[in-house]
Amino acid sequence: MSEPSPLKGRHRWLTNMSTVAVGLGIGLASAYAAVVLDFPPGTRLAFGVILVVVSIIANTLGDGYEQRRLLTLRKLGDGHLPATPEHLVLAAREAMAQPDLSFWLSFIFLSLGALVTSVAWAAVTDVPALVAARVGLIGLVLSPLTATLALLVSIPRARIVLRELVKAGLPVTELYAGVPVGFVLRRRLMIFSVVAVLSPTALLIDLGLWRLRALLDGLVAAPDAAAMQAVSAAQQGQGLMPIVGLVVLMIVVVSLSAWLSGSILGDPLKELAAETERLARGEHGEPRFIPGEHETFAAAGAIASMESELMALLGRLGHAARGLTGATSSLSEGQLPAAARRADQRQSLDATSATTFELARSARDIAVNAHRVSELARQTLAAARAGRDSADGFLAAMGQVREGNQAIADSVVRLNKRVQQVGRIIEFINGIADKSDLLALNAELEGNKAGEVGRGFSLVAAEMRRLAESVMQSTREIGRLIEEIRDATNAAVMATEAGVKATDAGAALAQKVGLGLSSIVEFANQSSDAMQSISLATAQQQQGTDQLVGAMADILRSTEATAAASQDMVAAHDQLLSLGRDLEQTVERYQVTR
Amino acid sequence: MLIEGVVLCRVGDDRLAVRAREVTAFEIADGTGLYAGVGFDPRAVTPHDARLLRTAGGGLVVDSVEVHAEQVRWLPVPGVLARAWGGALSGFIEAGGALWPLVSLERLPRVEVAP
Amino acid sequence: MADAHGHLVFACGSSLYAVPADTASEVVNVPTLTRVPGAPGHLLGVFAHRGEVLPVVDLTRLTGQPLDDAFKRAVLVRTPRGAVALTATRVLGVATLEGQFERLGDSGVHQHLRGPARAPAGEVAVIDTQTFVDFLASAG
Repeated sequence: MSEPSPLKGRHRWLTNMSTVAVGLGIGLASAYAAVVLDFPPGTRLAFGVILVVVSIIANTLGDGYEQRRLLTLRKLGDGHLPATPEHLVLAAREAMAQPDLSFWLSFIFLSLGALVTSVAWAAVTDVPALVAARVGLIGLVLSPLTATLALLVSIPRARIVLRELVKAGLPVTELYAGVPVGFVLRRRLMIFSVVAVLSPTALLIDLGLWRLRALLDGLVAAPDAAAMQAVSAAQQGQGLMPIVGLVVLMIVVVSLSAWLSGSILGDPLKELAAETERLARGEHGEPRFIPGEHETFAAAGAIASMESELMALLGRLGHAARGLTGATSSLSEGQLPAAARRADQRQSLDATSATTFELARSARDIAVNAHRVSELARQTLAAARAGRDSADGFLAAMGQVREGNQAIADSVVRLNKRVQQVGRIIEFINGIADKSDLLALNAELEGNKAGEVGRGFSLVAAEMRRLAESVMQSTREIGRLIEEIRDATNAAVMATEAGVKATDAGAALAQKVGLGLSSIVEFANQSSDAMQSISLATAQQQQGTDQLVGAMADILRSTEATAAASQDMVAAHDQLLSLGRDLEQTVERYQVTR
Repeated sequence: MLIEGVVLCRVGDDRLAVRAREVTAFEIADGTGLYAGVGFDPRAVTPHDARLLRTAGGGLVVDSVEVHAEQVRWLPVPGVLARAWGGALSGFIEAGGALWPLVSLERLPRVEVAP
Repeated sequence: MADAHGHLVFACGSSLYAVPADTASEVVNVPTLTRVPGAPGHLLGVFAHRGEVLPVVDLTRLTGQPLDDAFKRAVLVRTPRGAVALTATRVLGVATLEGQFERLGDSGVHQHLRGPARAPAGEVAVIDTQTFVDFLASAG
């Protein structure tokens, strides 16, 4: 150990005051004996010597025993033991037991000491047995009072030692948990009242009896009335001073003891009241150590454990509130760029075409999912408003909202698949048109070779080439539109990770696709005569168009529904966000001061 | 026309065929001999684990070989390719749904092969 | 060489070419080609078409302006010396040409191009298919 422990020497310091109290008691008893006892000649010295010797022996024995019971405290002070919580708790137990120990030791050693003194005195000198017995009586009467005083002066010191143990690193809750106390206050106060009343009374009675006895002895021994008068006068002449002085001294001692008791009881109760008031105001911190004994100690321990439980609960609540606010913030953030994008996309939207009507099918699925999410958000709000204090409740509701978002994201992914399907159909149509073009090219060539005869054939072939060229132009246009739709739906898939998104551009593009398809159909109709010689290609083309129309209608409806659902989602998220903020503010009111 | 007994060879990403009767032995290539890949790309490098088709006059190195036992259709060389590779092209084989250029090993440019 | 039956006009890269319609037998889509060892650079490979092996020739490599894009179409040309498929970016169709039919160059492929001729689509170089195919056969 490099520096001395703050607990050094505390084991001695703790017991010093009780030694002083015992000394005071012995002094009081000696003074009383010196005043009231009839010391036969030559016995005073013997009495003094015996008294001193017995006092020293008793004090040494008593002190030695006390120190043995403070072993852990001494070792901590000397640095022979590390200041771990286990050792500190042991030292605390020793310190708290010391006042009671000093009471009993003082009581026993004073009583025994008085008896031993009286017996030794009687044995050594030829003092009358009655006088020696009175010495014993005086000691017995004064020992409870002295022991009580020793107890009362030890308690403040024991409390200081406990505070120092807490400063040395003993956790307050462990201190309260590790030191057992008994509920003995009522019994102690009763005993104290009895002692405070009986001791002075006994001394006064003894003094009165002694004066009376002396008077009676004098009267009995007086040979005549004149002598009796003299005895009586002498008795009265002795005056009341010694008696009054003794009474006043007794009153002072008893009052001192009572005042000490009062403040010893009162101080911890005042501190407890202040602590609970702090708690009620909402100021929390680490539980404070309030020293006390018995019932007050138990009460302080209960308040400390309540305070630490409250702090833990508020910590959990604050954490949950921050989690809720964080989750709703990130949801709302995901909504904002979408809103801006939506404004841009809206500009390019026109009224929807009737040919895209069938897109409603998948849009309904998404609308149902969006409605479910909105419903979940409403349920979450209702649950939060119902005032559940468990943080798990909030987090579970958030998880449900996320599940709803996932369902929407899945719908958009299915949407994407249909767009891919459409792309494949377009590729197929394109292939057919390309082959038609080739066929027509070769037909034109052959017609040319046949000369005049093949001219009509060449014309038909040229017409077919133009038809095929326009079809391929349209499929190229549709392919471009599909790419744009794909880009828009990809952005939607990414955005639904933060929430539900709408792509109005997809609806506009779907409408354009519808118009493009209409023109293809128109081309096919216009050139039906020419195409009749190649009927297979025409039939295939028509089938592809129908499939395309169906898929496009799906896309349009779902994008429209997601636009509406997204607005609901933003509203729900805003409400959740404000709720999370309310909760945070409520928790913050309980200022956690450290 | 149908012929029997061809050896189908892979050369990098390309392929060619050789008449089985022209090959005297199949060996592991040891770095000597003409690598067939050079006919497709003059900068081609003989890979590891290449095979040498030893012939009477020399040999041709290819990536892998597969003897094709069944009859295959033979198509003649188009006029424009008659002089390709010093005239070593002797037709085209149809096998496995693909065309394989048929190379006559005797007419290949001679390259020394380690015995 | 102005033929009453017209010419088949096609684009190859940035240039327009024409072949006499009676030598053009067919227009085809170019499939996956089989490469031929020892073939010259302008011969991209061969493919089987109606039981015949057809060589595919890229005009842009002969004129020194090679393109990276794959060709979609090829024009099948037949001469007594053999058949050749000429790559085309786009086949425009049969047209009647006007203008001259002089030799357009003295070396390489230009010896076998005639012009300058004009089609509705623009200026074309007419290929003398007979001499051209002979030239290809000797270059191997």
